[in-house]
Amino acid sequence: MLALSKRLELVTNILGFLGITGVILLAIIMEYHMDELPCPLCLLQRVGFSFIALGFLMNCCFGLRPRYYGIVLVSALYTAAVALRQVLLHIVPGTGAYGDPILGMHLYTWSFLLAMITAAAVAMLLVFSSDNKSQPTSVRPAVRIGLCSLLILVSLANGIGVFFECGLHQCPENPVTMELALV
Amino acid sequence: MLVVIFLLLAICSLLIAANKVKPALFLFFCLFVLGCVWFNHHMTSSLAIHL
Repeated sequence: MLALSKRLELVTNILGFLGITGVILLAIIMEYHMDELPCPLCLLQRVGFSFIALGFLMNCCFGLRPRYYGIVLVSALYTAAVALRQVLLHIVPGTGAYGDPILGMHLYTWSFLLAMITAAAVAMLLVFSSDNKSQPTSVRPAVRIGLCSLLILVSLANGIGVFFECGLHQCPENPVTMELALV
Repeated sequence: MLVVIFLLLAICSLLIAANKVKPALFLFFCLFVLGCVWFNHHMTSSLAIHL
């Protein structure tokens, strides 16, 4: 049966990690560049995408294992559930929307689509993964440090952003200003 | 809560960088439960407004 080589599977996981981290970075850039403060559900979607990135990262650093693919799958379902919740809040005509649409769809709709595509892609990776254990299945230590540093930076940037937006209280449903504005 | 979750996410990435498999997995599952609790809290607190 057709099976991916371990090296190709590893590269796919690295690309998946970089893609998901890129999406979170894009959301952070939009937050500051377009002045779109994230709502609590938007932040939970970022948490979900960070979970997905953690699953890919474990696959890259600890070696390819079905359990890490499971982490990506369950995290993608979590992200999809949160995004779908937000879609349903705004689906009734007249209830408005949160934020500006991008390419015709709002960020939470894109978020739902991306989570479902990730789940489908990981399921296909599991179907076509090979059983060959002789090939190397994890990245070099320098690459591991680089990938982990990227996720640490993204998580800290998100954490600091949330702290300035909400302080230590629960975030408002429709945030307008930063809770702890510096200027 | 969200600040704590993002902070723990950074710590989990740090554990992965240090090649600590079991602590990283344990922290992930704790984080996932926290995420689910927070989502559930949001659902129950806003259901009355929207439904």
